[in-house]
Amino acid sequence: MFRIVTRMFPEGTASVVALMVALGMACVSGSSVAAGSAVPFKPLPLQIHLDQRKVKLGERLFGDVNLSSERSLACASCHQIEKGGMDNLPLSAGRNGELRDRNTPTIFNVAFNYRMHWDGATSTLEEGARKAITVGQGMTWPVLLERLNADQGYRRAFRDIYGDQPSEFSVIDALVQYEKSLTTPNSRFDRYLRGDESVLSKDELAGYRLFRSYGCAGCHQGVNIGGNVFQKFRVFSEVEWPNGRTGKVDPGRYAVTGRDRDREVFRVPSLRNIALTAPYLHDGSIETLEDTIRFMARGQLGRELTDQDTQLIVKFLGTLTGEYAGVPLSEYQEKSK
Amino acid sequence: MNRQRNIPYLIVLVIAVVGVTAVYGQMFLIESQLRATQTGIFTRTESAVGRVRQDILRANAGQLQQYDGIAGDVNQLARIGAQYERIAIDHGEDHTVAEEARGVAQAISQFNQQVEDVVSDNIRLQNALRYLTGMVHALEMHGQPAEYVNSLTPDTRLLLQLLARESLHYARWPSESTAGHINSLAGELRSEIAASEAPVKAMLGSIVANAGVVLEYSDLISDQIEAIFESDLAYRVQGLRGLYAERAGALHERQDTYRLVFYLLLITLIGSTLFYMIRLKVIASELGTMNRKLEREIEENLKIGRKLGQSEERLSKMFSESHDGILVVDVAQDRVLDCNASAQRLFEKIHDEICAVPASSLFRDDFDQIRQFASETTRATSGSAGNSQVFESASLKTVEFSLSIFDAAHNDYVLVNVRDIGDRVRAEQLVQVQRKILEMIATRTDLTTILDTICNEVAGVVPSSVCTVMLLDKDAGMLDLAAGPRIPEKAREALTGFPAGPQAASCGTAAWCGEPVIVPDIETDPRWASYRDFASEFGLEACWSIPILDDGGQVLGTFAISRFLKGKPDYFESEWLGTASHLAGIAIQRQRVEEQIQYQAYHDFLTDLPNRTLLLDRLRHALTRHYRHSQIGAVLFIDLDHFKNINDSLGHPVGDQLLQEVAARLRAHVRAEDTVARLGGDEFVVLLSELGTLRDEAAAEARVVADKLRASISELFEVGGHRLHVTPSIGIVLFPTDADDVDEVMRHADTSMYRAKSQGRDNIQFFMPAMASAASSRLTIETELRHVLERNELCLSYQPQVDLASGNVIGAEALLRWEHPRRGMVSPGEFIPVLEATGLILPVGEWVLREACNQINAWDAELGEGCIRHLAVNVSPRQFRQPDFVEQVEGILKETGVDARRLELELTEGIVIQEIDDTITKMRALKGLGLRFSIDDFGTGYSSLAYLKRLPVDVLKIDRSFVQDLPNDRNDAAIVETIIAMAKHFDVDIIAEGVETAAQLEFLREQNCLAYQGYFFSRPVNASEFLTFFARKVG
Repeated sequence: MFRIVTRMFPEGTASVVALMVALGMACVSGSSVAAGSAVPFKPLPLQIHLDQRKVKLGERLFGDVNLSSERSLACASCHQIEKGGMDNLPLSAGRNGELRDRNTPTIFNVAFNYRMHWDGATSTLEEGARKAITVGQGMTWPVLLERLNADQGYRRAFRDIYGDQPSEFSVIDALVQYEKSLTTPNSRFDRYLRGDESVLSKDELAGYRLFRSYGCAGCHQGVNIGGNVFQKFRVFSEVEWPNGRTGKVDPGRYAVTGRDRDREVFRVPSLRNIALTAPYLHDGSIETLEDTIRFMARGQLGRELTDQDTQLIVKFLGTLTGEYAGVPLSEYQEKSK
Repeated sequence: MNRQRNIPYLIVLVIAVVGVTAVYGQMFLIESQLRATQTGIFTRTESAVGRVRQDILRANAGQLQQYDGIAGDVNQLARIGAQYERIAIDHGEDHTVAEEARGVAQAISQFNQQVEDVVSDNIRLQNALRYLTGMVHALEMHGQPAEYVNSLTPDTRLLLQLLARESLHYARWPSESTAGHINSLAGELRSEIAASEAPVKAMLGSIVANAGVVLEYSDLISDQIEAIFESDLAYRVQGLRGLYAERAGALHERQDTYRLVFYLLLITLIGSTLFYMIRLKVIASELGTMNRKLEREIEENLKIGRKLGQSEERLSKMFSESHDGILVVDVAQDRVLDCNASAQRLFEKIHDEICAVPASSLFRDDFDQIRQFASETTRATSGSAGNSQVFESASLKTVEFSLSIFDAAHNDYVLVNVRDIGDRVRAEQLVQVQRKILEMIATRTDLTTILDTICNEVAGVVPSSVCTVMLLDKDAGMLDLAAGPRIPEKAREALTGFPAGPQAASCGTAAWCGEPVIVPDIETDPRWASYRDFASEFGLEACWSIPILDDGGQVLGTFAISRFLKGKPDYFESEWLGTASHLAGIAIQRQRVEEQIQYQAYHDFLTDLPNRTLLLDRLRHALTRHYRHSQIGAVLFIDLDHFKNINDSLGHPVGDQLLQEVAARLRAHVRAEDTVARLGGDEFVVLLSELGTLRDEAAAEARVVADKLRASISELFEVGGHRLHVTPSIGIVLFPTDADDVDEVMRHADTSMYRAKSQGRDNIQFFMPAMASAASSRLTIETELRHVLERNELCLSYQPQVDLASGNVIGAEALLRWEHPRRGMVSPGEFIPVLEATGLILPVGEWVLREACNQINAWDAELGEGCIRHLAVNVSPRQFRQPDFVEQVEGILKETGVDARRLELELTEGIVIQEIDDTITKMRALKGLGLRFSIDDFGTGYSSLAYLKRLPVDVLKIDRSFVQDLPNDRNDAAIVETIIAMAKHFDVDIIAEGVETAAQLEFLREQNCLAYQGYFFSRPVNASEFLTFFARKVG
């Protein structure tokens, strides 16, 4: 029971004991903040039902260099399942070996993003896959279909599954079905959200509270803890940023909309599995999670974090790593090595 | 007649068959286009837009925590937008529709853009507000002290607090003056930043930066939200919906034209065949004696006819069974030569009758046209089907003639095709009415007019009928008449609150079962059993009712045609029933959607109370009205004390539910004409109107309501298994007396509420006009207090404490006074809470201690040492909690050379029981120096004997509230007795506060109270006056 007492000096005013939230409440601050509908997060579904034949076919396409014009790159070259769904490089190499402008975002859980790419240029998996093939891989559909048709295995698979030879529709569909299978449910945080309160340590819980009270969760929310809103990079523009790796200012969403207010506006990325997907930011310019958190606090919230708070948030973010193929994604990576 | 002469007929036949097929194909195409105009895309667009709008409002109120819903809706709208693009392409040749559809697609993409912008900007604003709110709480010690707060100087703290508070204020009431204030505060802080050390520097920077975000986005976001609500998307969708309806009408028309051509071709087909057959018949009957050659030809032709076989049989069947009446007229002879069954039906005569009377009498006025046609066509070379003419009859029946000449040889013979186009005309009427109603809906005509029009139109085409629309009140299970032009007043009454049920006449039953209820004969139908008197009173014989359904199949009401004749609806009447109920359904839903959107824009989604926009609007009107009628109204600004703690510790769901309950209680205690609004968070405003013409009277009224509201809110809440006790702080402003524009009223109300808060919360404060000029807000006090010490504006006054037995002045209590250079004495109730809240109490408290010690020395010098035994000084909680409080007191005593036993520190019960261990330690340390302690306001808190035993207390002060009603109030008397007895038991002195009458004094004397203070002896006086008193009593 707590109360707040205000004392008035003169005898002219009666002193009042202002008792606010007393009876029955018994200072519940120790109990969970996670319960209730106001939690801005949702766990990933534990199971997704997909046509496994399509998923298999999609997986083969995903790993096939024939999907790029020079036969130099597959989707999986950058989106490596054993590296957190990306390549752990600041910037990935393009099909002619040149460096691209942006850090590869993880392919995991894309099905739960409402926007794709750093600039949110597309909003469906289909559009995203199409753009990756035609723009990213420099392919044209006639060439791609010809290559697939020349392969007896593909021909048979497409006929069995789609009842026809490979087409733009069926290629995209198979890729999309595979992408949908790339989810990492059952992270410790998800288990916490599902009611298992003991699963987070004291520090992780403290980090979770900080994550919310600082305002990180203002943008990183929803089922994917990001991936559904746009935000300006450095709301507090006076915060310095040495233009990272590329040495030039990325126009961000301006490239899509052409509106001035969208300069340096990016899609807020999902934080699921974030511990595994270093380096960070759209150009991979920050190596560690600690530095990224500190920079985000400065640039997005106008706040300076203490080392202790930073460490706690790092610990919380560690609980966002989910499971793939039934094992924690981190172990999966270890095994793959 | 020979073979060659038959060839043209065969060609005509073939052409006609091909034509019929082609036209039929066209009709089929139109049918499919018509189906395409029935689409759910408009409804889908509107509902997604509605959802997004609601979410945006929630997000702006800080209530929406995640954006998956909005993002999903935006994506869905984008997909819908693509469908509109598709429509634009599909209607390439129809520019209006294409443009309109493209317009909708553009509006959607603009809408989506606006939504994405506002979501993104709002996150920035909400984060800044969260930070600043936390900062205010930390600075005012409501919550955990923030990291570096304690190392700040009081000045900086005050600056921070002002900046944070002003920014929060700005987020609610953006105004240029507040912005100006914020900017100047930020300027001041910036200069402090430069001089600060690293961690403090960072925090100051954060506050300035976040205040900047509030300044930048508060207003902007309001504008963005306004734009989203005023987006022309909804109107464009409606426009397109209207166009679609219009196009559907046009398609219906085209379909009719094709149908006409179709029939014409059919007629030609039949006609040319018939002609061939009839001609043979005529020749045979007229000439009787044809020569053999002719007979042979006939026979030959008949053979050819047989060769035509089945096709000819079919044609003859067409003649006899055609829906159109077909007559062969010999114009010259004024005779009808032949006619089919349909013609007999149309003219209501049998074959021989028709052929017996002159054709002119049969066709009456129209015969001239037929004759004219025949004569004009005389010169025409060919008498084939192409040479036909269509006109509408002048007679009463709505028919349409088409004429054609049999052949050039017999141009007096005219084939007359008579078609009853009553159906077509009725169908056209239906389409026109449909279009008219849809236009009315699209142009936002009000619902009653639309429903009246529907009823009038339908009653106009169904003879002997009246039409009604009833709306279903789902909760009550009752129908109410919504439209029923031409219904007698008396019947209207009966149709208000008409029950829905299984045996409730036509409409009640239809509404109950959701199916059409066609009662052809009211007299015998069991469902009308209880309503026959009603029916016979108005002469009703039949009643056909059909439920009006919404898109989800829910019953909205009924449409009914009541007739003064028995019977079932024919085909068209059924169509009218269906169409009318469908249109009424669209109109009703349209209105409800609009009402809902309107409602959402003006109401708080959580409590359903009016929101700020609506409140300000009502206040604006109220101001004008009150001003005009010289009436006074009041605005009550209500804020729940420490509401944030509930949210923080029990979670938002509990907080939300509590707010809903509070809203319900507020609503329950005001009149229907008063407004209860929620501004957001835990802030409510009650607008009371017309409280009287006199200020005092109105103030008293407002006070009564405020007291009621306060009492009601202070009652226990049971929310989600928690028992919560909440108190409100209420600020009251009277208008137009205290303020005469909306902004000012709200500001003053806000200010008074803050005053109520600073008076210790759970309090009601009126706005004081006297303050208005000098202190437009609490902030002025805060600013001025910063310099109060250096400007020497504070002083102490002294209230004598008198020994009851001897009547001697034995001591005094020092009280803090602020003499404002312009406003004179400021009430302690006004500035002490501010000192307390801002932390300025620390330097001021120290000054008070020192000043009191100096006074003791001064009195000793005047009166001789020890004449005034002790001087009591109040100690505030913050002051007492300072880690070095003991050393501070010790230092002052040393510095002034005052004997510690002469100084008495007054603590409240509150201080004592908070952190009891710290209290005991400090009290013991000070006691060790020789100081006295008194417990102030004894009896008001949660005093317990247990702690009294543990504390080195010398004096208990009986609170004035117990003394006030002595000796009459028996409860108070009992309490005072108990306190005095207890004090004796613990060997503690006792002094009564606030003694004003001789009776009180007498009572206290009887109870053996030791000492008292109060107006009965003396009000608080300044130091020199005090000497006079002392002299009087002692001297």
